[in-house]
Amino acid sequence: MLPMPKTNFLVSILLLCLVSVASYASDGETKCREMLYTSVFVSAETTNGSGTIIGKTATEMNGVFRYSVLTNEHITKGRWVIYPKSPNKKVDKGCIVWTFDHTANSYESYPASVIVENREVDISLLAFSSSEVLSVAKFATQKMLDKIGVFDEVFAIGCNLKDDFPGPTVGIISLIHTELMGEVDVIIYANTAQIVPGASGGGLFKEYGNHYYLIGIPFRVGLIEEGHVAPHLAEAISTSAVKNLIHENAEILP
Amino acid sequence: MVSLPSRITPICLVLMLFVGVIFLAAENKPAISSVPEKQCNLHEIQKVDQIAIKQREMRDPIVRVETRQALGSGTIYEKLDTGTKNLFEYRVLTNQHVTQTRMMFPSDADFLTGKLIILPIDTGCSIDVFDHKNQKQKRYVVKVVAENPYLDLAILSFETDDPITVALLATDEILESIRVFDNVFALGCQLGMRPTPTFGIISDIISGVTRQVKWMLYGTTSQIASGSSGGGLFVEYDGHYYLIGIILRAAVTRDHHIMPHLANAISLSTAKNFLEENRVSKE
Repeated sequence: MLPMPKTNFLVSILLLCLVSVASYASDGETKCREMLYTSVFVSAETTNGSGTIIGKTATEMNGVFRYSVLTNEHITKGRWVIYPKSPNKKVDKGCIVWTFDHTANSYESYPASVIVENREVDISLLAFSSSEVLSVAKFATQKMLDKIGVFDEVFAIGCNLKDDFPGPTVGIISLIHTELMGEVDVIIYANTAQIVPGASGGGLFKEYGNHYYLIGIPFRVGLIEEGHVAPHLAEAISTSAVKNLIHENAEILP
Repeated sequence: MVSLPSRITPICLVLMLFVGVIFLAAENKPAISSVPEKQCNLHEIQKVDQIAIKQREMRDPIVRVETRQALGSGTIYEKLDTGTKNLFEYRVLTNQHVTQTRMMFPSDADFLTGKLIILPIDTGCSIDVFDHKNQKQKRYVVKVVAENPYLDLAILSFETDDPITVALLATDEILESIRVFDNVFALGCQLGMRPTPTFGIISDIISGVTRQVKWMLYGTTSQIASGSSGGGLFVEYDGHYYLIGIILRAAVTRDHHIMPHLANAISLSTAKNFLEENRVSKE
């Protein structure tokens, strides 16, 4: 047997290694749980994109939860269909939310109802019921949003190219500007976390004290030339705009 | 050192610690949770300070260069005393392919001989300097001090009494230490917007000689787009950010699509001789 002091030294080294591995794994899992697992795919009759689960409430039915999903209005508006025979009549075909189990590599779909829709700010809130226990994104507080600056590291989560599981991209905030959307001044975060069509409605996240908070909704990407997107010129609507919308519609939200 | 009872063998100790670590991982407690709150705040403050340094040293010296036909970027690299109180001359480094677009070449036939006459007209150049804090910008008409089409570099000059941030130029020591995989930031007015940063790595270092002039280019994955030309490529060194290159171009596919992550920048080591030559000629 080795003398005790040496053993203690070896144990300390081993402990250090294990703690490092555990904290690394823990950080990776935190990222997945707080960002990736909260992302869903939203499909409508003529459009599709991404969404982020932002709320969860228990229902009267045992074990069934009501989830709310934040996405873009330009995705949910595709649920309206106009038939050529009756051009004056719009039919609501509804939206479907697809949730993903990344460990089992499987997915589930749920019919979702549109609770709030704001075309000017390009934001929609959907709700669906499920017995599955799904991850819910943390909303950044106003204090956190106020601190966001150019060069801050951010993650964008969304279903890039529309037919894939949600995936993350990393980048930095490149510009913060205010845009008049309808009658509302909305803060826009330009960032280099690459997105492509399909990522609209997903989530833009920032780390704060080892947790990841939703700070924006990716909604558009720059065009270098006609029909050719520049994935690193992404823009997201600040969640400060969403908070107002939620506050205004607090009574009808799940 | 505290002696342990002989019954507890090292293997048992390791197993106990291992179980403890598994519990820690299962609870998903971040490693920092054991760090006192004050230290966490200090970490946050340091992060905020670092962001402020990045903004001041990289974003603030970048300007938008505008001619009648094109938009590009430029980097303010020098502040000179004019002799008048509070009035300074600032110098901007950009690409010659940006400044050359100020020239127009209208042609006409000679009234008597019928020969084609080309009359070059210099339509001038202006820059927009940005006050990011107040989301304002100010336009200055600039003078083109020097141009080198072979190096694709140009120097602009303007005078103002406004305080403007000047980029830190990398020393020879910094430039010599640059290697592939080094982290870099590219700053330019992509698509004519306000200066925006992108982050990447040095992917290639290419050098050569053209017309007896040595040149060096950095390949970088920091994405750029049209309008970034003339902007700055920066590297961090001892907590500060130094200009190491001037953004030149991005690769284009056969079907004419720009590849933003296949960017090239002219090394400051190439530009330094050009800057030095023109400093001497002015004095």
